[in-house]
Amino acid sequence: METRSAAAIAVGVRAGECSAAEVARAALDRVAARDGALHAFLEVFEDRALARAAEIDRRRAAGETLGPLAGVPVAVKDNMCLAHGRTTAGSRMLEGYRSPFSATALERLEGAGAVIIGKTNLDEFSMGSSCEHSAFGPTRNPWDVSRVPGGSSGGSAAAVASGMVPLALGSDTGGSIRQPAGLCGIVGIKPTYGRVSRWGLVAYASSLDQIGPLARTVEDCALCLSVISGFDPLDATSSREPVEDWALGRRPGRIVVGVPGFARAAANDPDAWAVFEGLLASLASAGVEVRDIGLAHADHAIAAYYIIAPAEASSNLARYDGVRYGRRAALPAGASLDDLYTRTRAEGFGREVQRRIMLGTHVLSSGYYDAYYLTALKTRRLIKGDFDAAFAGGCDAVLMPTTPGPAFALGEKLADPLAMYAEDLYTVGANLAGLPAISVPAGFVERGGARLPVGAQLVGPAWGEGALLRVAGVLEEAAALGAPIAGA
Amino acid sequence: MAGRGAAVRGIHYTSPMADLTHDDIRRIARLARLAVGDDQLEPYRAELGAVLGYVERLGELDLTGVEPMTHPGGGVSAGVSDGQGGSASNRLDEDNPGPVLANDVAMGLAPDAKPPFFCVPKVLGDGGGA
Repeated sequence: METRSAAAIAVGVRAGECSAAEVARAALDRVAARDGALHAFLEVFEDRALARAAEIDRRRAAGETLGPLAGVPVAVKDNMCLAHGRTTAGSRMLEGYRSPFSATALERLEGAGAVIIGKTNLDEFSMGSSCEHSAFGPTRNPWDVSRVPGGSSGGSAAAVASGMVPLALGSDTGGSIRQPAGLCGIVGIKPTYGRVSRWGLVAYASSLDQIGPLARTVEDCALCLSVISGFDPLDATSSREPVEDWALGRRPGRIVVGVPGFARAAANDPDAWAVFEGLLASLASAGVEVRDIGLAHADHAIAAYYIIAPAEASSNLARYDGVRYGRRAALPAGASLDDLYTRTRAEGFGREVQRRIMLGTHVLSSGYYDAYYLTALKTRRLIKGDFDAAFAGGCDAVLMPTTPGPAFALGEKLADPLAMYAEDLYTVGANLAGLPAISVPAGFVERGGARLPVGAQLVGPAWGEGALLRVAGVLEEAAALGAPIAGA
Repeated sequence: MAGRGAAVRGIHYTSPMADLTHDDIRRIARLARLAVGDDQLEPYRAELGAVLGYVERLGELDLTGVEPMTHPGGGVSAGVSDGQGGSASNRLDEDNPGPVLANDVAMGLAPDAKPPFFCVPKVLGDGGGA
């Protein structure tokens, strides 16, 4: 069992204490042993991973300087293009799609010496909070395989939590990194909007999407985020804000965190809330000032999100037309071009994706645009204003649970979209406001004899990843869970 | 149609199904280019109606004078600030040609192509249906 962090592996490989080849081999063996029960991976790149690892070992032997992720096995959510293997976004629409290019984030990962082990499962086009909306079957939670890992980056979270890999990439549009990180007992960060290039990320909702890391420690997330962040001319929303080595963060001095009243009011799982309160007490003992704050419009975040995200999705997913790439429906003789579009899209997209395209189309359509879309955009401004006021009032970060409760059973929320959407209660605000947010393991609750993790989430000011990661480190220390591996 | 009229003026009522009709679902499906069978009209009406009924809670907010926020800024922070934490313009780059996907590589991804053309059902003349 690999218990080393990504940081420790990279140090070991650079120092020659272990070879990248043996680290990669061990990771592949763990995937072979454990993924049958979890289905975290959609594709594993055994030959490519071993060849890449051998190349790192050769470069070390030749005396070349190795990168900060030298030899670290990484899993990548399958909505990021890699010029190798398939890129499906969890959809029948892209079932046979092989990208001719690689995402900037993946090029940067590999440039830093990381070894991509494979592509991980996700809710189709990242639309979901349980990984059950994957066209290729669900992923299971490594703490209890009868439960979901969360979503949409559920495959990446399960791969890390089960110890198959120490590090993974996910993407987060409304909580898709933080929610599965919370339900799988690991750390996951959504960076500031514009921090990480989306070039090569399959678009869902472009004013919300961000790529970010998942790992078992805050330090590993920091290490990876420093590698993948930074300006990219290929993404028009990419920022020129300076990037630091966030893994070198020192312990901050006085820390003030604000706990919004709505979090308490919305808490509907007493056990999970008790874990959160226990964490607050530990933080107070550690000298952190915990303040009550208001986020007056947080209650309206899900409503705004489920207008804005589907609206953008309906536009982004218009590209899947059966003409240029991806699936095309088989058509009877005499079928029209319109038949080609409508049948390809009805066949290629799953139910949840079609539902969101329909919703988005409706709220953008003539006569409804002002009432729904414009109203949501105004609400979005108020939600951002609430966070800004908290930071201006002296809070270093806003602290709340990552999810209302622990991982739920497979199938439990599938029939009720609104129940599934409620999973995003605490997470969508950071996306709407474009702020960096991180989920850190807070503790465990008991359900049917199983120990299930729950997470706590910190939201920080824009471009404040360094400070946010330092506060997250204090939270990690206060929770004192020791980065356990599920099923170990 | 009363519900639809109300929705146009502002979301200020609460109804569990947001008054969608089967014709609405047909209209939305047509706009979205999705083939939706008659047996799916009612399920979609219920599912979309439930979500639309939920989002109507935004009608509780006083949004008078609030500027819509289309995106959080991000890389566009180098653009013209709107003074409210967003940005009024996108980043403008120099218009320099860069590397592009080779034509044959792009065409190779198509489900049906005779390079340099994509093949689709007949659009014009006899048999053209679009």
